[in-house]
Amino acid sequence: MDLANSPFFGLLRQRLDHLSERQRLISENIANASTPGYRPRDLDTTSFDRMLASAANSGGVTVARTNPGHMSSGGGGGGSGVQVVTRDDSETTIDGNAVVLEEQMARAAETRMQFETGLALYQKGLDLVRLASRAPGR
Amino acid sequence: MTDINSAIAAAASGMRAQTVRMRVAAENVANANSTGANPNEEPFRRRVPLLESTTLANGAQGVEVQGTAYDMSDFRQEYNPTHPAADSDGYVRLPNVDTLVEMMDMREATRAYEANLNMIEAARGMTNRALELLRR
Repeated sequence: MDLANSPFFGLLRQRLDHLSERQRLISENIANASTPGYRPRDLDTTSFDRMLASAANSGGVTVARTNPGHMSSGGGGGGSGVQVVTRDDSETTIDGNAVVLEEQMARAAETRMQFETGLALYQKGLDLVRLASRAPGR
Repeated sequence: MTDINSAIAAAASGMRAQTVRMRVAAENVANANSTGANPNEEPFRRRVPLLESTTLANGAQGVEVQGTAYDMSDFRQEYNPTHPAADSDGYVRLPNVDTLVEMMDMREATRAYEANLNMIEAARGMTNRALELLRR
C-alpha cells in the first residue's frame, strides 16, 4: 500500500504544498514592499478549488479500482493546476508598488492557519493508520 | 518544504534591503547640517536607496539594493553672513535633507523590517509543525 499517495494523504500533501508555495509568494511580496513598480503575486485560488474538486472526484474513482496493481492516481487529478497571478492590494503607491503590508500579513496568517489545519488532519490520518495497525487488545 | 526555505530567503533579502534603507536615512539625518567649507563647495547632498526586485539563488523573488542615487533637488538656503561658506549675499547653502521625510522613511523601513521578520517566524513555525509529524 502506498500510503503517501493514498487519496487522503495525497490530497493533504498537495494542499500543504500549495499552502507553502503561497506562503513563499507572500514572503516575496513583503520583501518587495518598498520596491518601485512591484506588483504582488498570489496563487490563483479558483483554479486550486477546481483542482481540489477534480482530486476529490478522482479520489472516489481510486477507491473503486478493481485491481490493486492499477496505477495510483497520485492522490489527485490535475497536478499543478494552480497558477501564480498578480493580485494588487487595495492601494498602489505613486511609485507603482501595489503591496499593502497589512493585507499581506493577514494573508500570511490565513495561510499559516490553513497549513496548521492541514497538518492536524494529516496527523489524525497517521493516528488512524496507527490505530488500525495496532495489535488487538493493546 | 523548499518553498518555505525560499520564503525565508526572500524575507531575509527584504530585511537586508530595509537595513540599507535605514542606514541611508540615518546618513542623511546625520548630515542634515553638513555645509561646505567655503562658498564654492557643495553641502551634503541627500541620497536615496535604489531597491530592485531580483531572483535569488534558490529561485525566490527577493529584493536587492542597487546602490544609492543622489537627490538632485535644490539645496536649502539660509541667511548667515558670518558662516565661512556664505556667498557674497550672505546666504549659506544647506543640504537638501528634510528630517521629517527621513523620519517617515525610517518608520516605514522599521515596519517593513518587522513584517519580514514575522514572515521568517511564520515560516519557521510552519516547518516546526511539519517536523512534529516525525516526533510522534
